[in-house]
Amino acid sequence: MRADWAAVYEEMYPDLVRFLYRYVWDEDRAQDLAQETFVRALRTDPDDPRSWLFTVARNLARDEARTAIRRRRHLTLFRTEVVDKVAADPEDVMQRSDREQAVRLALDRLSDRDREALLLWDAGLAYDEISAQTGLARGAVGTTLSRARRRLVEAHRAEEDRDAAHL
Amino acid sequence: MPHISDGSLHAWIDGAFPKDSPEGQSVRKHLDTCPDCRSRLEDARHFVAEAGEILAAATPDLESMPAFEEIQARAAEADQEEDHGRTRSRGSLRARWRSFERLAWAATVVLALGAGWIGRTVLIDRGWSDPFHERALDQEPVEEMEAVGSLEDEVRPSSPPLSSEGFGADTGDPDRANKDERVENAAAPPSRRAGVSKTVAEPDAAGELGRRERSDAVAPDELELELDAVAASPDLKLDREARLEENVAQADTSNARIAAQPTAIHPAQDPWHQLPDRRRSPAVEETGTCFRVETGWSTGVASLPGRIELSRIDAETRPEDDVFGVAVLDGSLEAVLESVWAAFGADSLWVRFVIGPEADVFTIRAGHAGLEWVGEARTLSPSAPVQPRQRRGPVRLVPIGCP
Repeated sequence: MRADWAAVYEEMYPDLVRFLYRYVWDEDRAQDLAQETFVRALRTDPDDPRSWLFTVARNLARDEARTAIRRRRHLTLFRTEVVDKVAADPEDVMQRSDREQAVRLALDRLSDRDREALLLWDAGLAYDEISAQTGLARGAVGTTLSRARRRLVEAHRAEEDRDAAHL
Repeated sequence: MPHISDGSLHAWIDGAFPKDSPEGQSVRKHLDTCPDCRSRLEDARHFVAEAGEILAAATPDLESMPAFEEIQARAAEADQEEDHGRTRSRGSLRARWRSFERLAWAATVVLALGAGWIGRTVLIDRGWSDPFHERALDQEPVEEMEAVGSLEDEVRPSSPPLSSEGFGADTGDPDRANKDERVENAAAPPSRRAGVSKTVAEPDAAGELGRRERSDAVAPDELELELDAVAASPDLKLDREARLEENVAQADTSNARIAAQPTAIHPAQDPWHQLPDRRRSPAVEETGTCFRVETGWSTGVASLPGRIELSRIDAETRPEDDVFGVAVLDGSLEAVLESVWAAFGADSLWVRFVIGPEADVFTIRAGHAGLEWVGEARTLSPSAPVQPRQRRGPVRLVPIGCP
């Protein structure tokens, strides 16, 4: 083992889940993918754990998106059971869902590269790591992030304005 | 000196310039002397902060994470499975060859038997008499009669052997007809066997002769009688009635639970009631289903206690209406479509979703697995004026009991 994987896991698991969540929008699925990423990392033992983890996680998230699209083409039947977990206040949950929906719509307005750079930055990667991950020149990372942030903020404001118009 | 680029301002804010690096020192010097860039820096700071807040609104609640040892165990397990897979792959080649060999032998035997059968049939058609076949036909009734107890000796003393005129030929001989009937009877379903055997056994119903035949062939009638007798047994009846009562009690409990469901959710728990009236569309009542459906342009509520089963059929599969659904997995929800949303109330599931781009009418199929409810909920009629944004429509399903 080249890296102290226990330490890497403790440090990066939440970041990885957060990063994946913004792709799959399902916490359990994001956790599943994060765990799968770490399982693969332990089996591979890469030189650069941080960069490797996010590369694999991003690929898994893309595969997940493709699977979701395929799944929609077929009848999907779910059998579910009531669980003990009860939301304390459904209205709170609903408001949170509205906020997330607005973020999701705003992120959808970004280009793939802008979104990826922004999410990698938010997951805690440095400019060098974002550059290695995305293929951007290091000097272009700041430019990409500035554009991504501005577009995200503007798209989000537009979503809020549109919601307010329907109230 | 040119102004600082937006990228460099964001990199400066993000701390991307190493301390005392030439780029960092250059930016610092320029900011000291350029009020425009200082103003732009403040704007950039706002964008950075606001973007961070926006993303923070979409952050999962990571209450717990699996122990690292668990991940290690999974990795070790995956390694073992991979090793085992390699071994199995090598082993499977040998197994496939063995099964191929067996198949080849089986095919050879089948071909040989088939060729023999076809050849024999052709020869018989051309007038060839098959001594083995004749002997078999001759011996079969004798053996059967021995088993029956020479019943036919009383009914019909003599039983001449078949002539060699071919199997199944109509000779007009009543004995031959009886024999054929028995041959057919031997391979017939039990009910047919019973009927034929009964007529044969009737002349000797009170005697010892034919008892074995009766015990086998007349079994269905006797069995029914026995079952009736057993069913009439007081102990069994009591047991059956007890089970029936238990089932009825369970059904009553389930029905009572359903009946106890509110036809309307308490206003304090129901954001629907907090909506302005103008945002509600007329209620639609779906008779013949399990739910009363109300629609509007905000949060919808579905009260579905117990186990639920929801499905979604893609418009390609079922173009006349689009079926939406949610799945509940360990307390979280897996969205079948984008923007499917649901949350648990104390005794209900709240559902909200976005109507697809082409769907003015959509269907929710919800099943209560215990009682197999199935309800279809339709929102607005296709002619209703719906703006794209307003497709984010709610639906409220109120249980009204199943027909």
